[in-house]
Amino acid sequence: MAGKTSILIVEDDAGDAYFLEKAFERVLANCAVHRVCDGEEAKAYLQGVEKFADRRAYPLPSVILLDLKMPRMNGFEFLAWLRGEPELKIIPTVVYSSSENPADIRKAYEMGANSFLHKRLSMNATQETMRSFARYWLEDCGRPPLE
Amino acid sequence: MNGTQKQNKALEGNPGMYRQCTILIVDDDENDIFFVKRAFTEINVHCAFQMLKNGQEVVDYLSGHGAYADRQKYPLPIMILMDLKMPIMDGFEVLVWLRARPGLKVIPTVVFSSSDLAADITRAYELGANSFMTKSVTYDGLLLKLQTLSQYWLEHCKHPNVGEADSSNSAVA
Repeated sequence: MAGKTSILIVEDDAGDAYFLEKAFERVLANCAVHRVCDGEEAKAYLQGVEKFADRRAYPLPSVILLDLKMPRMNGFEFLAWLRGEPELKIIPTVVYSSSENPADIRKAYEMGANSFLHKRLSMNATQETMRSFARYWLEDCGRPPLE
Repeated sequence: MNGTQKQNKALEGNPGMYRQCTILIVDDDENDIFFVKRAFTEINVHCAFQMLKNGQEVVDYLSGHGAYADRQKYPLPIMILMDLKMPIMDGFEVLVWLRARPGLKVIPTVVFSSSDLAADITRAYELGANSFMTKSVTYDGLLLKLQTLSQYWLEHCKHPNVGEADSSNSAVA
């Protein structure tokens, strides 16, 4: 796989984000993990504006891990924006939500989520899910070239 | 509750149990189909597999044309594993057709192709592939890839209900 990999976490809950960052620290070597707090900030990150202007510090992610329920711009609104951006819409985006509502799951896929992972409550379970996520998306899947 | 909803219920209750689920494998190469099937058996994936040889057969299957009208025998799949280069109708054409079908467009569809060309990968994602895996040339490589794939999709992912259900009662504002 060419290039260094990176993951963008879009999550407003500091506790959930902490679990994710810890999990990735344990299961991933040589992968940059960045976190933003809501859809608006994710948008700014991907557009490379404001504090995200430096692409070396804030590279376009190999894959996005997206919470659904967030203030300002939620996960669905973010997906709608992302899939309308010609240069960015091919970035694989995986919803990571505690919702088990079939309507949420279906809507996420309808709006172009690449898959839907159920948010885990413990550190160990989070790590297990993220190990599978990282192996799948960063090692075994072909990734679209960005820029 | 339709067939796929029942399958999803089974998945929710027992993450390791997906005995009642159907996966479509679409490939024109009989050797590839043989090894994919063998690998899935070896890694203990207890899904029902339906083998189709080209895109037109996928359209017929998902639309319930002809013999495929029998959903007991040919249930809607929880996912599709599809080659790109096939006669009659290729994988790209299937993606275009599928993503325009309201009841079916949510079916997770993974492209499984021998191509590793950036242009093919980009186009597949643009047309709505859920992900893209390049086939391995060795059987051991194939086994590892399908192991990662089945663990990710069958143990960790939530699958959408396929068919008539809609998403209008989502709880997220």
